[in-house]
Amino acid sequence: MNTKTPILVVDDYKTMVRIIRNLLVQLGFDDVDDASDGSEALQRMSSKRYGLVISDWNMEPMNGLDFLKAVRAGNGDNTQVPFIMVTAESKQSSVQEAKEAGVNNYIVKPFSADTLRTKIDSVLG
Amino acid sequence: MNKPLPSDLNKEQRSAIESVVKDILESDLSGQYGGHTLKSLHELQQQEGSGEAMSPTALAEQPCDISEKHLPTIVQNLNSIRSTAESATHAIMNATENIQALLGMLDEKMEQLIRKELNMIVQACAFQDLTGQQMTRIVDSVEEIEFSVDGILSSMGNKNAARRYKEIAARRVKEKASGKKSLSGPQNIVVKDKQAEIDNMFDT
Repeated sequence: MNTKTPILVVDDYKTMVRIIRNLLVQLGFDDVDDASDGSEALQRMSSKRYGLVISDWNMEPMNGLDFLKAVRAGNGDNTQVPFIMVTAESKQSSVQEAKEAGVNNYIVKPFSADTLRTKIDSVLG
Repeated sequence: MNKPLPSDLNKEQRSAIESVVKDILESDLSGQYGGHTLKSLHELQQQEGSGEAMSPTALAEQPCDISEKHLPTIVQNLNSIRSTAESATHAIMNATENIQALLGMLDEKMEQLIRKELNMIVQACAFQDLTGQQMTRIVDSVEEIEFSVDGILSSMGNKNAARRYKEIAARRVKEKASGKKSLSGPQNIVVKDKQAEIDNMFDT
């Protein structure tokens, strides 16, 4: 796992951003940016190439699924960026929808540092 | 289980019930109700069976109280809980990060032990995100009830309710146009470990 990978954390709850950021720092990642919704995240991605996106689903005004679709439909450097969806809720059809939209993995809240490490390992190799 | 109030309650009985509900809503959430509640309950017991007919005025006032007093109080209390939990969580996170910054001063074994425990604290702070999301849904539901009550009152000729109903309806049109309140994430609450189930979907 390359800990120099730039990571973008997207969540409208500041607490969750802090938690994920803190856990990432504990895992050794030091290049971590954040955004509060899909629109802000797309703006950040237009000026920087990321090696991983960790995004919440329920956000306003652009939710995580629409953000994922916009990333995959884009034509910049980040089109194929590994994308992990993090959400408190899950329904098989929704997970399937995210999978079809191109999500690489899916974490259910609440999660542990070990789960986060495992999922990052699985998408970054 | 919610039960409607008996239709034969008189004005005083209904007023006493209203006082009890108000007292509960304004309680300090410790489960301890004030003397006002206990007095009202006692008055209710005394009035039981008095048989006084309820006036049309009392009937008309009750729904207004629901949308003008009780529901806004519920929303206010829930928002206060959410805000307090958020502030407390940030204070915990601040303290945790301050301690993490000092870990380098310890020997390696002690550092690892404390770091592990601090990680547990950080992970536990996720409660604020989870409860915050659910609190938001409850507030949305209460506001939906408020909107419906105002709609009913409006159709009965209540001008204040009609004004509020129009304001909320107009706000909703704006929110819909701007994409707000259109969260379309999965809606069922996780009550057991779903991670393994989802992992299987990604393995196939």
